[in-house]
Amino acid sequence: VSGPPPRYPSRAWPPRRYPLSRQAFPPPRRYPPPAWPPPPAFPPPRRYPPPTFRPAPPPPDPAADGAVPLPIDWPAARRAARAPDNQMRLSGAAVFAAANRGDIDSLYLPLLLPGDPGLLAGARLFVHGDFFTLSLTDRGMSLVLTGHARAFPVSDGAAGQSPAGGLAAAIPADGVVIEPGEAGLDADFSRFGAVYGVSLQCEDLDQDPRCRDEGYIRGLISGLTVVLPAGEG
Amino acid sequence: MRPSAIAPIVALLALAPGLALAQAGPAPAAPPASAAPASSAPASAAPPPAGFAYDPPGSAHATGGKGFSDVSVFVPGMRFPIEQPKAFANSQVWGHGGSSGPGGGQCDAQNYAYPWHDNFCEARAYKTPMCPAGNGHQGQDIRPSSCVKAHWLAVAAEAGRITQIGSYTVYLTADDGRMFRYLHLQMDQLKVRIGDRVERGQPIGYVSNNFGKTPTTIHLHFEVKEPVTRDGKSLFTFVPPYSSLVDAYQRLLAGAP
Repeated sequence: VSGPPPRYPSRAWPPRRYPLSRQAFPPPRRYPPPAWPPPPAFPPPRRYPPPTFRPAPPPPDPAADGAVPLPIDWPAARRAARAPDNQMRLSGAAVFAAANRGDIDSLYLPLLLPGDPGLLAGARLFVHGDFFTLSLTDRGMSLVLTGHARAFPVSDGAAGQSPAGGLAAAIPADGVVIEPGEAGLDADFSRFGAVYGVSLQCEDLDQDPRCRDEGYIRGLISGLTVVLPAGEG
Repeated sequence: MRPSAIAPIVALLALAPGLALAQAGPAPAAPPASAAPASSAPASAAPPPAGFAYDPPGSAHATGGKGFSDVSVFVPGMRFPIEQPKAFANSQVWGHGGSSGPGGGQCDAQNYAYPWHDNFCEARAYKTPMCPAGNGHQGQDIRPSSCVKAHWLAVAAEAGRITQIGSYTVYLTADDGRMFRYLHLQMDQLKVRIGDRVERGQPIGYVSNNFGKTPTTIHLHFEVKEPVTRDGKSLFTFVPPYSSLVDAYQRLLAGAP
């Protein structure tokens, strides 16, 4: 709406002037300062013990059983553990990893876990310093995943029995040796310098594709989650 | 054989040529030398128990495959995996009652007689990197003393932990990292559960014929997997158990398992 502003009655305008009172105002009332609760006394800073790093693995005694340590490529393991896809899988394995953190931290090699969180629900982890075994069952299939940070040297005589090219010839380009057998399906491979093996056995060996075809076990291996012991992560 | 164990064994063989046990088969071969710890070495050096005979490791007798003929004892000091003698290591497929055998039934007396036969590299399609052909059987079949199921106990080859029990397999992970797999036990009468700690020689279950839907012959299929390394390559794989079994069986027969 345009036009001049509405005019109001001017009877009250200008406002009436009132004389200032000479009465003295009482002095302003002084209030006591508010009684705030005293600030909480901060506890003394907590003294944490100095960080204790896991000691380096003791050098195995070759005379004990003849096994030798395998050099673990920890930088490569760290890179793999920090990769985005591994971090995503790691979130699915968080409950299992937290429940077994003490055991995991006692390992001298990276732990590998199935990437499917559902498989870890009833999984059990057995550790022994330089090797571990993870076992679980899933709908008629048993799974054993094992990793080793030491190995037994193959003697000249035994190596001479292997196919031409020896152990190296038995390992294909992708590094995964698939070993179907009487009990089911095994797949063995090396990662970060350690050796790992997966063994599957099915109630219905002939019909269950997880034990019959290579696809399932290859997919399981390619999707394994890398979990590092504390101090190595 | 472990490098650290080669020298004393060579010396032992040189000093005690009579250590060789009675062997069958035409090909004379060096006997499986014991690489057992010093504590059990005397048992291996004891006179051979009467009657026991075995084909040399890797003998292709009735197994249809080219065997692993090296005499390496991969598991020194191992406990024989069946509690009591006698036991008979031989083929289930190529023996009486087997699909490729000469006929007859599994309880044929020839299946329950010496000599032993190595069937680790028996002609099978199973990938077995330690076998000359690259394929094999991955384990050794052992019949118990008699053709009776669920009567003869299988025992722990080494101290360790039961890490898995599958449909027809018990997994024993030993303290040294080796994995022993016991197949075809009587699964409803096992003496162990997953997670159990077992000592060397402790009963695991009864030798039987459990094999899922289709029963097999009465025997223990015994496998050893271990991490091996050679020339910078490493692998967790099946190793030949035959020489280790011969060595362990000698000690069992001698009363010092």
